[in-house]
Amino acid sequence: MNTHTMPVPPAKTAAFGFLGLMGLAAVVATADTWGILDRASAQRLLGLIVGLVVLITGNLLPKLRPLRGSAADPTDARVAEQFAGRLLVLIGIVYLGAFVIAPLRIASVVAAVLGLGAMLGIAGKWILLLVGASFDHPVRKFPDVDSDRNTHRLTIWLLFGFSYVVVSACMAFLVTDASLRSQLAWYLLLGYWLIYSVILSALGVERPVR
Amino acid sequence: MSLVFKALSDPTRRRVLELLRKQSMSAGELADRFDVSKPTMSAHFAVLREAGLVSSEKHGKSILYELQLSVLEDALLSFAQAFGWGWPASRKTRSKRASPEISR
Repeated sequence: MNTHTMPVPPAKTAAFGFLGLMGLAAVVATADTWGILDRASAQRLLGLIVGLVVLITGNLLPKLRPLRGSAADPTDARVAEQFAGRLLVLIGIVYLGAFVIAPLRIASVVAAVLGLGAMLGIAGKWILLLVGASFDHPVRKFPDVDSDRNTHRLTIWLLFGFSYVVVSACMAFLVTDASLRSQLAWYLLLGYWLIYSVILSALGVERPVR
Repeated sequence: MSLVFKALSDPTRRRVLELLRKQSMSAGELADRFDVSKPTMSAHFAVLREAGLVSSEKHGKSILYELQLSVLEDALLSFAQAFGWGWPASRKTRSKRASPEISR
């Protein structure tokens, strides 16, 4: 199977947007550290930035086709991607609304609960789909084209980075104690490395060569 | 975004997208469902590809088209379908005749 005129999925655009918003988040965090912004305003701004990240990633998710080329049935994969995209768009809108109008503590708890719930729900659905499909269709159908592989790999990196950012932010929203938060951050990092290996093998994506 | 609006403004292209919602289809299968010449259909496919709403892969001699919509584009398509956006009355009748399963 050859690719004829495969338009490049907007993975690069999404990656640049994601990095841009992360840069903005770093600026806000730095401004908070230096005392340029007060703590409450900084937290609201960070919540809004995370909301934008969730909204934009959710919108692009069905277009990025992260499950494309996996063992999953193409129709099931598309449904799962659409569900995830719509759910994230909805949650992104709730984030933006909550961090604009709700009291900060309530907005933080709502954002954390919704964010963690969505990430767990999407991950669970995708893992079940991939595990189930791997028994039915052990042969992968990904096109043997380097540009497609690279785009797909970029998509996986992007979504993995996205989920790490969202889960980290949710932890930060929930946990107010600084020492406990930094301890949790290390466990989260370790956990993500483990999950990363599992997802890559499940999706049939090669590790980048260093 | 203007490319997306341009692509969605045409009823034939919207119907192509509706057909692709159900499953991926080849250019020939899609063209057979429309009362339009093949060069015209090719032009429609080109507009959809240019807008990034579909992707295409060559399978042997046929080209397989697959839907590639973001959540917003999907909502815009549903909106355009629901409100008959850019759907002239004279073409509506002809299009329904050409593809009865869409009107169901």
